[in-house]
Amino acid sequence: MYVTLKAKIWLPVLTIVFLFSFFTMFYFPNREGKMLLNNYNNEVQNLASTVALGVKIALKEQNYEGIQTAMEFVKENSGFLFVNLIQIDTLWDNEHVHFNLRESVFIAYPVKSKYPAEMVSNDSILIKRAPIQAPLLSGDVQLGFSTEEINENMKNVRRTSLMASGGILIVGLILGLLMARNISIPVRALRDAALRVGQGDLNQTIKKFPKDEIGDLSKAFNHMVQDLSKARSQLLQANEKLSQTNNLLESALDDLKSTQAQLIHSEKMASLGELTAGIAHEIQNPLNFVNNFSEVNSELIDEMQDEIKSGNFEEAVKLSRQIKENQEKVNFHGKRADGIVKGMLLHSRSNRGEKEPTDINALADEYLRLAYHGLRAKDKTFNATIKTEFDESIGKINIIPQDIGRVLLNLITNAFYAVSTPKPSAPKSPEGDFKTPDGVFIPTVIVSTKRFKSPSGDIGAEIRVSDNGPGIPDTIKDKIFQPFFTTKPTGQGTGLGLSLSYDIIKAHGGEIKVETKEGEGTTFIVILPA
Amino acid sequence: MMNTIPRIGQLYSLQVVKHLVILIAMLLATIVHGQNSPLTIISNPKGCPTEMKESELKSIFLGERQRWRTGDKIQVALMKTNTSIGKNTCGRMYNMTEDELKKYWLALVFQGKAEAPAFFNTVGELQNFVSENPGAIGIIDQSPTVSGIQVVSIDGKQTL
Repeated sequence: MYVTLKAKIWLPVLTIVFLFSFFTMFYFPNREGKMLLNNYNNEVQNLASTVALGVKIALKEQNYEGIQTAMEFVKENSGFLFVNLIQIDTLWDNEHVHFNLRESVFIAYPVKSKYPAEMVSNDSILIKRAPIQAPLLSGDVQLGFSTEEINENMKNVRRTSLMASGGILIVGLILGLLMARNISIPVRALRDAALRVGQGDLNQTIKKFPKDEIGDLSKAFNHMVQDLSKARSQLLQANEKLSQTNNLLESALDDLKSTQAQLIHSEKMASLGELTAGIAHEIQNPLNFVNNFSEVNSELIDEMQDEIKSGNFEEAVKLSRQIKENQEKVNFHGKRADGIVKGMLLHSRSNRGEKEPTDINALADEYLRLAYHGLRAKDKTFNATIKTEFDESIGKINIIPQDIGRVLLNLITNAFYAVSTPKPSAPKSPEGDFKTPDGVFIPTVIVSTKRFKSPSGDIGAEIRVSDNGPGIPDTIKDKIFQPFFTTKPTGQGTGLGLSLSYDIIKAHGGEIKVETKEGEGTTFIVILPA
Repeated sequence: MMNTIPRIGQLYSLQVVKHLVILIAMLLATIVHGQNSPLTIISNPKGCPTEMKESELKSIFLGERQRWRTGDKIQVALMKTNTSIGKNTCGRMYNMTEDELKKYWLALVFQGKAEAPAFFNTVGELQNFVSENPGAIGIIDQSPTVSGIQVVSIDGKQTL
């Protein structure tokens, strides 16, 4: 529930004022009246007792000063009405069995007062009695005092209380009003200013400063608003700069993306180039056979024509047989080239980016040979031993053949590169071979496949590409899958091969990892799910 | 011997009785004498005249007058009623019993009609009081033995 500051101030002030007024108007006069009455009762009683004592002393010891002093003291009181010396006589019946007590006024002062002995207190007269037991007199001192003065005093008390409570009420109301104004007005001003600052108006200032903590708060508020205004200006400037920097960064990002795309394209082109080189080399071989045997046949046909012209038909028949054999070889190698081209066409046509059941062994073998021939096409001196260890029980696996082929090509190419790098412990011999301390270094790349069963029971394939190169140092082993990371000299690699391979394998739901030891070799392991 | 002792005893007891009678007679005589001994009115020279009439005296001792002609306050001094002089005074001056006198003065003082009288146990105390208090007047049964006191003659007589 929302309660205003003014209400919070007024509530306790009014509560206190009303409580105090109530106390002053009712409780206090009531209590005072009772106290006055009580004191009056006690006073009159004491006077009666004093007079009684004086009488007793006078009668017993014939010392009348006590009673004279007591009577003078009693008469001095403004409320004094009368004092009776009451004699109580015991009246026995004739048989002296039963008795009555008879009270009679022995002496009275004032002399002509007519207050009977049996009189008791009422609203206007207070009667008090004190007993006297003396040999000469047995009875009571009966003292009568007017309650007029005490009633008047009580009225005065009530009147004074009423005036006091009225005064308290007025003072309380004025104080409450002053407090409410002095506190709530500046606080509301602060609140309104704070609200406007919250809405963005930093030109707000509090102009009045009361000489108290609220004034200090107002000054602090003004300082705060000034600081906020400065900070906002600085923020706006910084924002402007950031915006400019952001634009530059966006531009740089676009450039980077473009460059990345170009580099990826280059990588793809590079791998494509290697693939093309491999393919070209593959085709070159059968075509060489076709060309060679065609040339030989052409020469043999010329010889056969000469033999026919010279009538040497037996020789011509022998030549025709040779020509036929050569022609069969041309046909064979021609079909080989045709098969290679058809295979590549089939490979390219079927590449729609969708997974399809693929013979992983055949794919691995194909890309191994492509990579090898591709490298040989670039560098005639390149030589390496390639081995394959395929698990025939793998069967077909659902993969995107071109993507996995790209991965295998990359791994195999890297392996060939690694084995072409001289081992530190293997200096080159004069013949060009590398000699390790225990013999000649034979660069070897092994591609193997194995049926793989995952912990969940799924069957997949594990492909390993191993080399006996220098291995990967521990310092860079964790970086090899990072984009643009390369150990090749500048210009020789984009550094995206393994990064792209990693992405392709992950997209297939597989895993790629490396096992390496410096000075011994490296094995890349690709695990593909079924 | 045995006959002598009873005779001696008889003689002894007779003597005792005789002495007792004499003693009692003397006591009674004293009492009677005390009761009937003349009273002397003494006063402080300031205020009180040296002579007055018996009616005036009674008026004073009854508390009917509060001041001397000189304006001095009259202070009555009496022997307590349980003394012989006091008893004598009750009868001679007031014609009241002791109790009646006590009640009389109680009533006067209670009603403010008279100043409280001073009662004394001994004549010496009474004389000293009269001597030291101007306006004081008292009753004793002898001539004053303290200075500063005068005897007031009543109707020309030194004693009552």
